[in-house]
Amino acid sequence: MLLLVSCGEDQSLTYDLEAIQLARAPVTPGGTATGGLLAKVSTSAGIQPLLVDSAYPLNSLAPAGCAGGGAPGWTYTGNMDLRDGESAAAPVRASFDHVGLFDLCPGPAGDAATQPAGVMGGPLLSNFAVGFELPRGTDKPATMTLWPSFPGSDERLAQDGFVSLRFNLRGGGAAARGSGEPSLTLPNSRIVLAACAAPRAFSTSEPQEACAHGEVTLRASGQDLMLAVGTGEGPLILSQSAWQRIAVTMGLANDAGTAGDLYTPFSTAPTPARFLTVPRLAVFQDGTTDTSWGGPCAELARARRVEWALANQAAGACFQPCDASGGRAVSTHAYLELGGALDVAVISETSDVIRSINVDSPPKPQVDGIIGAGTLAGTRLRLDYAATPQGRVIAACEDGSTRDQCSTAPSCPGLSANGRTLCFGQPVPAWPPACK
Amino acid sequence: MFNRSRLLAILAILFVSSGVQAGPLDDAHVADTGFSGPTTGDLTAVYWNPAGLGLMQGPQLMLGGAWQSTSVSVARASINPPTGTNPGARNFPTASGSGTLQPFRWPLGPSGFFGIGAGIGHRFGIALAMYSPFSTKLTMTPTADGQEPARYHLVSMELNHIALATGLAIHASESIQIGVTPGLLFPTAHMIFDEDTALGDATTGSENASAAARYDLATKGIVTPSYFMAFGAHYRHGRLSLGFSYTSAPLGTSGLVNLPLDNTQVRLPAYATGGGAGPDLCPDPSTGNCLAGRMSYRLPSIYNLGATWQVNKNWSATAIVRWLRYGALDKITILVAGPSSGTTLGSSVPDHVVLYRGFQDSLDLRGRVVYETKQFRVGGTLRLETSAVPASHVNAAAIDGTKIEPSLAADMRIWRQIRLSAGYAFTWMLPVDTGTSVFDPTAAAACTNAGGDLSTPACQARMNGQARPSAAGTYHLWRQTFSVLTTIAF
Repeated sequence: MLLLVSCGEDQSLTYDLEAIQLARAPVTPGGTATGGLLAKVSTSAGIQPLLVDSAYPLNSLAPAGCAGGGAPGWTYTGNMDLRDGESAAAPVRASFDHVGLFDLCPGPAGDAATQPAGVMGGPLLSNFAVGFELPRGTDKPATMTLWPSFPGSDERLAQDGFVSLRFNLRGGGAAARGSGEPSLTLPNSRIVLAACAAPRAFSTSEPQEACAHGEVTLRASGQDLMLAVGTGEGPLILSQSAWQRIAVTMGLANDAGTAGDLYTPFSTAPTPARFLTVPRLAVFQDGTTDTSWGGPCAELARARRVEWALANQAAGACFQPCDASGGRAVSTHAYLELGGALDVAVISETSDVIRSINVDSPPKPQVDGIIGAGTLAGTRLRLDYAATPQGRVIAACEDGSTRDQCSTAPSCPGLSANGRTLCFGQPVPAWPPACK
Repeated sequence: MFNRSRLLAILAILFVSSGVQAGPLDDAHVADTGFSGPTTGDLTAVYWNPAGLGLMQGPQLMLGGAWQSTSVSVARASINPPTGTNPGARNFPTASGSGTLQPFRWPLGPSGFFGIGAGIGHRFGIALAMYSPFSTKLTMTPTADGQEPARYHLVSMELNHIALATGLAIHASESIQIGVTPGLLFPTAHMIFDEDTALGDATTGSENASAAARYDLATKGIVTPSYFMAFGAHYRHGRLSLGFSYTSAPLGTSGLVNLPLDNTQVRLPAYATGGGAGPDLCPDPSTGNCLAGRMSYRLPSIYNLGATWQVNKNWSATAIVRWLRYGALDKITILVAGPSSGTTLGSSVPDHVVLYRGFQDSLDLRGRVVYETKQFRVGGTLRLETSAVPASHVNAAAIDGTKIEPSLAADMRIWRQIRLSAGYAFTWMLPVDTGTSVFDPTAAAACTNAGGDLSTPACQARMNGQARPSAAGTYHLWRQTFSVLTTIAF
């Protein structure tokens, strides 16, 4: 028997386009509560936390809660009612009926004390355009809004300060079970984006960076990564091998950081980890299908050089030869740059987390880790699964963000609308020449 | 020799002509008002029944259009100002509205028909056609004292769907043809309505004009089309012809049409600025429209059944039944995105609006008699259509009831292979008294008080778009249609 766990054929999704309040788990044990997103769900044991995790490959709910553990591995078609509040009379804010579910208790989220009764995973989230408001602080609540789609072309959204990062869903595959038991097919539901970890700092008032023809990759700083977007995780989770590459860039030891336990839904037992911080992370589209794609760190360096030339054109600045084609600057790729001290958890290559996020059929490029909700704190995020021809992550920074904390840079110069061109948030009245 | 002045006269007629609308969206007279149907063997079969293309002989070209004028009146029931419920101390003057559909504009308007095709060797029929199966246009006029009684349901709307379809028919046997029409549906939309941002606020009062935010939503240019399929069969035995066809709703989207609204503006409520007209959310048009919207709604699938009895050489009688599956049209969902900074959109004014429809299936019944000679033919049709909108669901944006429509059409050969047909139809809707309106202005506040609990009737009403000002009242609609169609058979 082949069982599709994403949904039943007669699933019914009831929601009202209004925001649903979410709690947040700690980013790390004892850390700030800006980590994994937690809704509340009805179980026979009362209202319990439900992890909302875009990186989790299935939907799970232990109908009787997780106090006594579930019956791991059993699937059923059931209902999931999201509620605001913990009393029996708490308002129902969304109902997902006849949904394919695992009777499975996930691992704790953030710390050992935060035990969800289930996970609203990628297969369920991918029915919507999911909007998340993720405040940087804990004084305002996080919210989730379910829409059927999110309006606006990438160009229009760019004018409004959003970046659109396109992706193709990953994570599909057959999950083998015990001998004689039915096999399970998991749908593609995981968002994987390219990222540049720990690039150097940048300012338009710094000296111009020279870049001759063919030096695009040479001028890149930071380390290229492929990262899943995981709203149920807290820190930036990296595999040991990915961290080793970054450590070289940052001049740190391979075993830098503080040893501790990482709690994620992927494993009921804590995952040994080393905790440290990186200064910044630039997140790009999944560029694997883009022929003009040079890799996230090379694209970041190029975008910064183009931004520098535009910001300094009054002083006679020109585009670097490696960024010019036919006398004009080539288009840059949109990116979201997150800064400050970003919490990182480095875990083993063989951990359940890293193995799980690399399940793909057919195999696809290695995923190095997860961008957790704590890393994304301070953003307004839309996971627009319904967009065509590819899904898109639409992101903007929380009002009042500084450039060091969060910045968005839509594609330049591909933003011509109504006869004007916007690049890096500023109109471009004229284009500087390419440097000789 | 063909008379040049006659040709100019024909063209002049074509350029002032338009179609008949039935139901809330349906054009009941695609191509013409008097002769087409599921048993017809000409290019209009691309719409009516693709199997009819198998009856064509030789090449054929058809060009025509219709001029359709719709008039409505809305006599709203009084409301209680603090709650907005019926009845109460506040009365409304009768509002009137009108809309004229005609095809000659860009993007191409509704009520036109262009087809070209050929019957090939009594084996195949093939055709390409452009027409508008679904369209509606209505603008409500402010009353003499400046009131807009229907503003919370409709200020103005124009929804058009231009179909570009290819039809193919084959002879399965001497008496049976089967056909198929795959097609693309190009939608355009422009909709204006007000949102009461103080609904349920007893202090401001329901339907307080100073709390009305105006949504002006429109598509820009040609948007990505939906696609549909039609299938049909035609049987002829002796004097009897039977035709049956099915036209799908948009495929691949569960019948949904998803429209990007790239010309979107929201005018903020006047009270936000202390009086007068409210400012636009995007005040500087020179920098481009900062809002983007998206609208989704469903279209019906349609079953057609027709029978024609050739009484003698000159006389024939036709009966047609159309079953329009409006039952799936539950609501129109509108989403708006604006600048990433600032909180006006989504807090002071909503970034999403659901307009309840709750339509039901309708039946379109026609009886037709045609007298025909070699040079001309004349026909009379009586059409009766049941309502696609339950009375309690009727509002200014969805006015429908039982309709009666007599029509006359004439067709004559004007020069060798050229025929010209013209028709006139008058549609009268039996007045609709909504009784208790399905729209409940108290539901918004009740739902808020319930914490947004979707298990409560108030929040289900809000979710479905029924938490809006009442539309209770009496509605009238009448419509005139004049159509002209030229057929050139080579």
